[in-house]
Amino acid sequence: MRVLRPATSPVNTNTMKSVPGSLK
Amino acid sequence: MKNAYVPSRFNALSHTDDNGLVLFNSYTGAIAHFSDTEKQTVLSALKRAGTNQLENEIQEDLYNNGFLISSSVDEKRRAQFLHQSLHRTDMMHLILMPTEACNFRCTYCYESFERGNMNRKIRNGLKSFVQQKAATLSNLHISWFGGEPLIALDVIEELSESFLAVAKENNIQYSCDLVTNGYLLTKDVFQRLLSWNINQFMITIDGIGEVHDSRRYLTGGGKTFDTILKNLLAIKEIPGVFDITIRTNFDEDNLKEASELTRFLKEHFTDDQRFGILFRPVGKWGGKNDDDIPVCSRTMADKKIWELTDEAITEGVNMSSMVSGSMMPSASVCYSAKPHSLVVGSDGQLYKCTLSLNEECNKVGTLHEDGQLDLDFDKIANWVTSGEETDEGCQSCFYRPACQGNHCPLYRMRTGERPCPYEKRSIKKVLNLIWKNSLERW
Repeated sequence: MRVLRPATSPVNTNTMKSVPGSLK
Repeated sequence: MKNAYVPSRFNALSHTDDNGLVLFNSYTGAIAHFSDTEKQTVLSALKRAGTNQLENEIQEDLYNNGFLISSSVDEKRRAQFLHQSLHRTDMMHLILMPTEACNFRCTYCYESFERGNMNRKIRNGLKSFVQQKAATLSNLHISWFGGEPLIALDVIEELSESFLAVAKENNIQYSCDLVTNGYLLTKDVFQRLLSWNINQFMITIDGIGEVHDSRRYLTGGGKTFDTILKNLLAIKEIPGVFDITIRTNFDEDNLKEASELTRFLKEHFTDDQRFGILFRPVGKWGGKNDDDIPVCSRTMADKKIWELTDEAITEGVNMSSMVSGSMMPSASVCYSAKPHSLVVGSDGQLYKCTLSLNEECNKVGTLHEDGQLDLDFDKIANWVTSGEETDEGCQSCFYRPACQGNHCPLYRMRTGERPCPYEKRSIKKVLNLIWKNSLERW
């Protein structure tokens, strides 16, 4: 196994403007 | 009697081009690659019935990364608790508009440029507000936005110096990002920004030369591509740690030229890990030219984002760190849905969303010179509580910990559709690209 990103403890660990489509 | 270990409901799995596997867990954020020889062991271990004991090293690895979990765990409660943890009061994210003016008039822009630089009262108000909050903060993130923020570099300087001093005094982890069109981002300006802890940037290039200039031009209609490129090449020579996302917004007009841009970026940025590319489709986002934008269909957009990214990685251009970054737990929750996040307009008007600045439901309060906020919590509640708690589909989704049904509350309000992130919609393709993007560095 090669770890590309290690596991985190999510509650203790995030601080992309991307609208998922047209708004009309 | 059920087995002691079962696969997590938050796993996603993709087969890679080398006959291996990539596994992702949206609750722990873990991403791991398994080789051809390990693949069968992994697939067996992840069978729905689970396993009663961890029988080999691979199963141990799967457990340690959250791909296998104890069958006594209630994962839906885990996700619910993660969602509630966004209410912790020691984190704050402010999106600041040092000016709402812009030196560009991009064809697909949704902003109206009605207000100029942040006035003295609002600057004082912001400094007081942060000072008053400081004692209870462990983490403060500032997004510099606008308008074009670099028009108001003096505002950024004044506020940054105040925030940095407060953060130091109160032992607050202080981080920033900045969205700019890149025209004013000279080497000198860039170095000043770095000194204010601003080290994540997003700069848009929509094609080479005329392709870019026909979409993203100066207020008077002048060209911008050459200046932006000159700035980026100068920045590349600066030693130091920073992260620049070169964003390409595409529609039917510039889609065909995207490959040319990729080859161009390869020439200049392929050997610098600090630069990465992000492709996004243009949408009708409320700008005055909306009716004339040749937007791609949803199916076409979904396909092209990752096709173009794949092509870039194959050419040796890095994928923006924002892609995998957005796949961390809570990382695809929009700031508009976070309880301790606010947008501050240059006149002190407070918003939740950066797109719908003229809508009453988005005008959630006012900042005063003494640092006091008047907030309308009923309006704020609409933005913060319209995600997973209202949508059973989101509650059962493998991606729930990342976006919590709140990737874009505005999209859900306007269209009535679920606002699934692009990464989630094409998760298998994206995992394969994350693996592929990691190869050069390995």
